[in-house]
Amino acid sequence: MAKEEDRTDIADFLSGDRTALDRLVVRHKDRVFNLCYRLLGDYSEAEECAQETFIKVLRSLKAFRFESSFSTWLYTIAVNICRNRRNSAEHRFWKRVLSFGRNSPEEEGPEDFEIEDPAPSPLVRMTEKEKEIMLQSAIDSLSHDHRTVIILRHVEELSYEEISRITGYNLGTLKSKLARARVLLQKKIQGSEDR
Amino acid sequence: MKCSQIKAILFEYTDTEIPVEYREDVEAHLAVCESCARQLAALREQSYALRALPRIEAPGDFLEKVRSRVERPSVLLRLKNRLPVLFAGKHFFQLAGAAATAVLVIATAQVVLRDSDHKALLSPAPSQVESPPSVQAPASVGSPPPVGSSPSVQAPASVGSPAAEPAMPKSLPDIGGENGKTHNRAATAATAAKPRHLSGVEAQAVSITLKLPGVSPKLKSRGGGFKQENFSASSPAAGMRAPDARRLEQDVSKGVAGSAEVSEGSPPPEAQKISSDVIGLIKRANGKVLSVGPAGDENRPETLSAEMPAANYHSFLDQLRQLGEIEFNGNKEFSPAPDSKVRVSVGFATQE
Repeated sequence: MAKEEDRTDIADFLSGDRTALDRLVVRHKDRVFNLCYRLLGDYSEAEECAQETFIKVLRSLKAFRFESSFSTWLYTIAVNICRNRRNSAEHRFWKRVLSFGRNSPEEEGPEDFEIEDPAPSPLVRMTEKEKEIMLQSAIDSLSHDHRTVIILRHVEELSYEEISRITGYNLGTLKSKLARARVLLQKKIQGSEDR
Repeated sequence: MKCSQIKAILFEYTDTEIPVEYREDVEAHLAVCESCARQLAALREQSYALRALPRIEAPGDFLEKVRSRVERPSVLLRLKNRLPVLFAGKHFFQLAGAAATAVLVIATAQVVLRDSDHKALLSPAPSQVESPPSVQAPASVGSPPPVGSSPSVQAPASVGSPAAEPAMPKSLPDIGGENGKTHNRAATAATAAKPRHLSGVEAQAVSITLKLPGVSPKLKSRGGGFKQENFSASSPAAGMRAPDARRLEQDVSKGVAGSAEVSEGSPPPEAQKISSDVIGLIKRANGKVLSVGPAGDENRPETLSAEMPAANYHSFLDQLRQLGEIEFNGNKEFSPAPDSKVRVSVGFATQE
């Protein structure tokens, strides 16, 4: 249904209907904004990147060939913009300033998929707000690739196929990265509980 | 199935559907393995917590911000739009033309200045340009007169005179070097030689031998011979004059000719006196001593070459006859034009 609406609005926008642009933005802005926020962990940066995503999409809308859904294309651009933003010197500087005193972000250890101490999850005993803060902090400590796959899969609840199109990973690589990301995320959660 | 196998597929078990045969094995294992069951519970809790994260909504003015940014032209587009305005400006082409002209003028000036510097380095100095004719000048002074002259009275080609110095190539850009000095000296000699031609009338030459009485034999052992140096008496360059000749000239001007002291290497007093007398006569005739050449006999004075106004030539001859018998070599008597000059070469011979 949404795909059909996207197709219609894109056609209207290309034929000069300026209101079609508004409809496209309104329909997708929250999901794009949420994705940016989860990937970046910062509200203002998320707003900046979400705006940039729409501007980039709308300026290259004539080149869109509907080989994938509009939302997948939108997500692909948003993920790339957020990655570039995280890699920018400005973002690294503020991240370093704000994370002063914290543990260094993750990660890469031995490639195992076993949770070493499968104790009852601390998430069970937390309030919703505490869970959100802790989870977002744990997500932020992951690498961009792991963070992206875990958010796209478990926050945005996209299918493996959609995630494959967005990230460019094949299915096997995607499953492997996702499993690894979940192990690392669980370690972060357990670690934050221990502290 | 072992725990390790179960844990490897637990992620897929919680996330997606797995084949039925595996599902039954996994569920059978989880029923008996507490560790794997706890891990499954943790993964499920994690998935639930991630899904339960609140959806952050975009700010209310998000659409307006996007719209304003979309409608605002990009930097390149803005630049592209401004270019026609810039080119359409009233004075744009005038300013551009002025700037281009200024650049052209500066570049041309630099090229011209550079070329002129190169030319100045490669071309000889102005004094050097005049030097070639001056190189010939001393030779012409001592050159044999057009009338036939005897070898004994002819001033030989000056040894050590400026003319004898090797002529430098015209194109040599030697400035201030040793060669430059040579050129300057030659130029000076040329300047000094110029008065001989100032009258614009070709000087007539005559060669005379003054026969002197015999020189005392005892004097031969006293004095040395004349220095075998030639010089141009008219040259103002002190370094080019033979000291003895200069002293003689000074003595004549002071009226103390013949008072030169006898010293080792100087001519005998008689010879010095005769030479001084002749130079004095030349001076009195308003003439100039051009050169003093070596004598064949060391006891005889040097050969003198002088130039004097033709009007005084005959009086000079009369006074010269008082010193001794004179003999003309080649053309004997001639009457030069009154406004011309006469170049006289006076040789000395012992009267038997």
